[in-house]
Amino acid sequence: MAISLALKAIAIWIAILMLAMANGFLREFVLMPRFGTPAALVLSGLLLSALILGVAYLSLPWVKPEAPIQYWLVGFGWLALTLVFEFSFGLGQGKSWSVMLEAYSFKGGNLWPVVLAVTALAPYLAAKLRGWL
Amino acid sequence: MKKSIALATLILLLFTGIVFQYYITALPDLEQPITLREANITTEAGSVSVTFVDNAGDPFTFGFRASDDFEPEVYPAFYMRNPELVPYMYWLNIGGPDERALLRVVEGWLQRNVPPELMERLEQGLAEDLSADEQKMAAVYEVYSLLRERHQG
Repeated sequence: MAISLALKAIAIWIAILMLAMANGFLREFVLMPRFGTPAALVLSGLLLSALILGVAYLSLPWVKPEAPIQYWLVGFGWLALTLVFEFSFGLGQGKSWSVMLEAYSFKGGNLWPVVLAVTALAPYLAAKLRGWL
Repeated sequence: MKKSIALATLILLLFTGIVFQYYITALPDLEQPITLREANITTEAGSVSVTFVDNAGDPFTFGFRASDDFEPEVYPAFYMRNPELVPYMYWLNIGGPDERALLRVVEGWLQRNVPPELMERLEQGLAEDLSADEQKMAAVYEVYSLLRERHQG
């Protein structure tokens, strides 16, 4: 059961990853030219947060967590996968920690920490929205 | 038995993830001749985006993000190995080996495709009265110029 839940959670995270990539493309080639860098970063962060919450909401009946703790496990599992994906890139490139952590400082309108918080909370919030909790 | 299958699936997913990560971050081996499909200044601050297409028809997009708040020395460069397949923007480490590899690709393209007179004008910063095609080449030169500054010597 736990492994089945983990596999489903990973499959959904891959879908979130694809949406995040598309969101990055949209930010750089549509939002930034129209609204400028700070506004585009804010809009992109809000959009990605909404998309993650939407994916969590739609996928919840398929994942079917059985206990409240499983909502947190899925959410923090997604967060861990995201951080591993992100930092493994940086470390592979030889980036310093100060450079990698710059995205966490809200500099220039970057809402990355908010996106990560939403990622961790998304299954729980989606269950709340569905009235399951 | 079920547990073994699930564990094998997890390991397979992990391995696929590593291969995927390598794929989207590795510079493609572009087949000559490489043509310039598109080159734009995408923001008021002067961000540049360029798309090459190689002989096999595979696109390769690269550029950098400019900002009014920072000096050009820290403008991050990026590339998308195949934007039509995976639109992942890979941000390069400033001054790192991926930037050097991108510089070699751009430099090679400029040497093969830009007439010497135009190259001379671009090097002197004389970018006025350029035709549409020349403006695209000038955008490629912008990327080259930014990366060369970081990797010369």
